[in-house]
Amino acid sequence: MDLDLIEAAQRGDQVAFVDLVRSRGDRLFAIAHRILRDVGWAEDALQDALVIAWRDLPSLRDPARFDPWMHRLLTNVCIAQAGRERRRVANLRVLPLDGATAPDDLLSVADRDQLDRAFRRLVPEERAILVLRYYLGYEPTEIAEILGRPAGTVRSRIHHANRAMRAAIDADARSVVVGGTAR
Amino acid sequence: MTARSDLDPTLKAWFDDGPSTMPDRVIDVVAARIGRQRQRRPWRLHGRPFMNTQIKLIAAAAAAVVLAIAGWNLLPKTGSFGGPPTSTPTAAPTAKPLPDGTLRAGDYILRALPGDPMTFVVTAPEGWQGLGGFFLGGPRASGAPDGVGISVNHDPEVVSNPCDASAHTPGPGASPPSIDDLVAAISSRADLQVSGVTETVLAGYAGKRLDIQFPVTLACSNQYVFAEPKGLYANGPANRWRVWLVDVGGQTAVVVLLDYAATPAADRAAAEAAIASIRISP
Repeated sequence: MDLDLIEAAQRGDQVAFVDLVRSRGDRLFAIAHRILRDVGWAEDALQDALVIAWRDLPSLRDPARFDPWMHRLLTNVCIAQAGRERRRVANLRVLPLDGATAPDDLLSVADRDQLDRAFRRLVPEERAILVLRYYLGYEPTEIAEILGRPAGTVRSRIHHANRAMRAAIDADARSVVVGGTAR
Repeated sequence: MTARSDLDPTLKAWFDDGPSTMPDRVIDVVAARIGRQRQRRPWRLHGRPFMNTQIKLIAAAAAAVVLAIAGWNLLPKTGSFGGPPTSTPTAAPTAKPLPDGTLRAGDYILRALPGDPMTFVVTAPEGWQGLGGFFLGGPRASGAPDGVGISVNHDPEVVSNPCDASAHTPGPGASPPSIDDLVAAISSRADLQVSGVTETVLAGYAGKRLDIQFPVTLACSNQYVFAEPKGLYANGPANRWRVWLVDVGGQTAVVVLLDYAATPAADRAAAEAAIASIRISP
């Protein structure tokens, strides 16, 4: 934990803040990309979240809590952006699958394609919850704190998002089998 | 994959597999943006960790009296409690409605039209000018050859005849144009050079940004882009506009930075910083 950097940035040290961004940028960008599934949108969201972080950093009472605080900022920016992009690309055209593809260690290309399609159908907050849970490894209580939701709500959302992913994957598979193409 | 009963390891593997390197340009952009973005200082009393209960009660009572007086003063001085509703303030509590005239540095609430629900809170630099509640002019005003200004708007109509602010696309009463429609309508104007159309995010809202170059000789004294009643026109020959069109809950918020080739870089930078400070409430 770079407490010195965080405290210096809180006092207005821009160089310290840029150093903080360098040390955490890859991780933050990965989070934004996982939620938004688009490099350009992830870049935009990360830039906005970092500028907001800079602006509001003096109000962070406990510098040791910088990472969850930053994750909350970024997640909220991503949720907002995903909501807007979701409306804009609501009728996303989905390409047909080619059937069996070469498998890798765990996920084949077709698996990833299915997961991607299913994930994009989730509402933005559910996407964020899955990323916080399965990518960052946060416990439901920690996710609840990050998102400002009751822990029970978060558990319910995780369950619902899992079910929605499963249903979307199954529906996707059926559409491929029956129609030869996905929607 | 669909035969697996447990999705968790699949999701974890899928999330682990993806781009994980931040592009270098993010650092450059963020470094530039924070150079123009002031930090917000919290309202905390440092060095006073202890307050006894009596002091807390006195402070709370004093605060209640102050709030009551402030609230009373904010009530309409004419008319009754049953009068027409006023718009709900959504801006930052310290922001003030933009007055006409020279400004002290601070946060101001801009609206495209008086009473509009959509607000734009802008941190204005010292010595800038307020105009009409929707326009910030720079220290040299916004006219040619070296002025600068910022205008806000929402759901505008693009004028099809630059000299007639009532002739616009789409026609009166039609659905508000989308951001893409607005970009297309502006780009189709033969009197404007439009460039740099790009995806953007302003105040956390996504949309498009573009640059407009007006001609050296204006077609008329008021060469419009956006139609009245929320009209906006070139503030001088060879005016340059940078236009942000962003989607705010289904409405299109518009922010325009107006300047000229001879505008001092410091004034332009101050305008960009002011725009970076904008907070929009639908």
